[in-house]
Amino acid sequence: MDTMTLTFLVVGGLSLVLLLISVVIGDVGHFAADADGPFSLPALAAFLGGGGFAGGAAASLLADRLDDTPRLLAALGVGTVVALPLAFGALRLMSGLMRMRTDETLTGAGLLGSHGVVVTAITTPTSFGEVRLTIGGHTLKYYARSQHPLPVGTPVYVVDVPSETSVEVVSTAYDPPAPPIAPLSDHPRSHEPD
Amino acid sequence: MSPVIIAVIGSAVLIVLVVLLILSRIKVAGPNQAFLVTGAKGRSTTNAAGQVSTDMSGQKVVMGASVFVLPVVQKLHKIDLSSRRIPVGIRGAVSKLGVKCDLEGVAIVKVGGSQDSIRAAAQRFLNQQSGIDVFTSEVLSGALRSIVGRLSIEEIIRDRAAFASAVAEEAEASLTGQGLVLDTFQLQDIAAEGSYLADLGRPEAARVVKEAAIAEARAQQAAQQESLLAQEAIAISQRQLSLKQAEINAEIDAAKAAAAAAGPIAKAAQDQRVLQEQEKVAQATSALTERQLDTQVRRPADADRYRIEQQAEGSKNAVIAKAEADRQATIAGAQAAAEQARLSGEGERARRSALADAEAIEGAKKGEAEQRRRTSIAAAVEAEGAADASAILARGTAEAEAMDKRAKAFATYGEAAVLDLLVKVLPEIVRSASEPLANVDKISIISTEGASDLSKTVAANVALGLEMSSDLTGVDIRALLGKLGGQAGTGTVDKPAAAGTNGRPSTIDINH
Repeated sequence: MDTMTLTFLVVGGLSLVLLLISVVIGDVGHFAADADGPFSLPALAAFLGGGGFAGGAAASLLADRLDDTPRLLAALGVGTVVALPLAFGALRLMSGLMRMRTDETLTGAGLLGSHGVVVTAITTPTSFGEVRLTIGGHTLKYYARSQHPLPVGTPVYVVDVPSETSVEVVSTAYDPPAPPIAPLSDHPRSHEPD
Repeated sequence: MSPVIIAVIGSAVLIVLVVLLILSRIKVAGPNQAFLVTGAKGRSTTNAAGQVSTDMSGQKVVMGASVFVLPVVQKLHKIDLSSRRIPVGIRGAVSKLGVKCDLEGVAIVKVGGSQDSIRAAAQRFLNQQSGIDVFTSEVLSGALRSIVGRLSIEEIIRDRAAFASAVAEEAEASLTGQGLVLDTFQLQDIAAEGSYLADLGRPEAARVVKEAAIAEARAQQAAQQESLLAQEAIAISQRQLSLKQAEINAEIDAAKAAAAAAGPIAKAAQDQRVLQEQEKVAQATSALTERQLDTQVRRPADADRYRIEQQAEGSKNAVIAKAEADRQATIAGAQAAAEQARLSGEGERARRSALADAEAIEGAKKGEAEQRRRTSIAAAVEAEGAADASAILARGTAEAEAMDKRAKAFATYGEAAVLDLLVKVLPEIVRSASEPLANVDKISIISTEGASDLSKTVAANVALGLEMSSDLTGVDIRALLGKLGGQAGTGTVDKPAAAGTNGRPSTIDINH
């Protein structure tokens, strides 16, 4: 194994060590180069590692056919050709992951229109009761106000979110229509059994 | 080992490590964590006035999800969403009615689960998350103080809705702005100054004590009543037992008395038989006396009466005959005289009428005198009779009273006493009945029946004596005697044909 090959392999090995340290310990050396884009650590390590190993392999294969200078150039060329796709792949992977979707976080506006149930009675328009809302699988308890007194167990609908921990609700309980007023009969009601 | 193989292996390892490194930049938040990823740029918007504003979208809030964090340009911050148990205690808080009280409660506080809450909490507590507890505890103490000031102690204890509402209001005011959520707030202990809380329960305790006392008293009353009823039943049973015992004793006594009386009764029966024999004797005696009376008195009297009647009849006939003769003579005389008068004329008639007048006057005088005499005689007789009658009436009345009293006395005596008396008196009666015989020196019996008449007389006397004493005392002595003999008195008496024995006592002196 000649010196050139060894050098290429050592460069690749160094990049491997760097990667290993980064993976195990975390991002080391928050140097300016480790940033978003081509100079981030994974891209650089992929470029160097890929170039080193590919160059080392090329250098060892061409050791008996070429002189030192062209062999070095050829090894560098081969290393670059191999390293660039590797670095590009790493970059693509990173940029893809950067735009990965995360679960939406609950916001106050998301409470609007949600349904729930009263767990502590709302007595006056100025006093707070408590409602239990179910939003996207979360069961949350909010302080609630309403224009009308609501007993415990009333189903409610959120119409306003004054603050992060309180809502304004209206009742969605079914109000049976008032029974029609029976017309007064002309004759007094007889108490005869039917 | 050839360098080519080393290179191939190295490349493979390189690829794996690169992928691993890239993937390690994906951070996953736990369910109790929120990530804030800072460093990205927010969206800039230009409003109609041309003002450019950048929203907070560069500051990404992630809860329980994964997020890719670029090193260096982005920073990841973690906020713990776990609940925190925060003890809250206040001393000397003044309640709505002015009663001071000490409260101890526990609050469960967490960072709110919404984007804005997490951002607000992150602003305040990101690097001092352990300080949330202290901070919240102090805030809640003040809040609790104001809550207590708004409510009375009774409301705090009982009115959950009012307390919860007050707590909510305080939490809204003090905690929400800091991104904290008061999950729950519970009072653990409340102590009022003095004995306020104890006094709250005293009416109820007193009521319970009262009801218990009433129930006990009623139970005791029922028990007492039951026991008294039981005692009453026992007393009734004892009374029945005593009555039975008394009945049995009475029967025993009666039997004993009967046994004891058997001797005297036998003796009395013996006496009665003796009396019967004596009665026979008395009957015979009375019959004899009757006969003697018949022979010595009645028959001579009848003979005398017959003789006198015959004499009277004779004299009457003689007088009648004589009167008839006189009448005839007078008639003849009168006829003769009439003839003579008719013949003698007027002078004679005048004389005769004068004579007749004179005779008439004389007759009238004689009649008057006779009438006066008879009237006076009648008056005398009447006076005598009246005197006699009043005397008899007086005696009768006196006797009747005496009788009544005696009868009453006898009535008040028991039969036994009467019997006793009777037994005492009977010999006396018999003795009296046989007295006429005792006075006889010598009896010459002129009777076909012989000496039995004597005893008959005596017996009749005794029977009469008994009748008399019955009449006088109002006590049916015969019936009594019949009882004494153990048989009902028949009450039939062979009454003697005539009364009026010489030596018969008219009354029985009971006081003898």
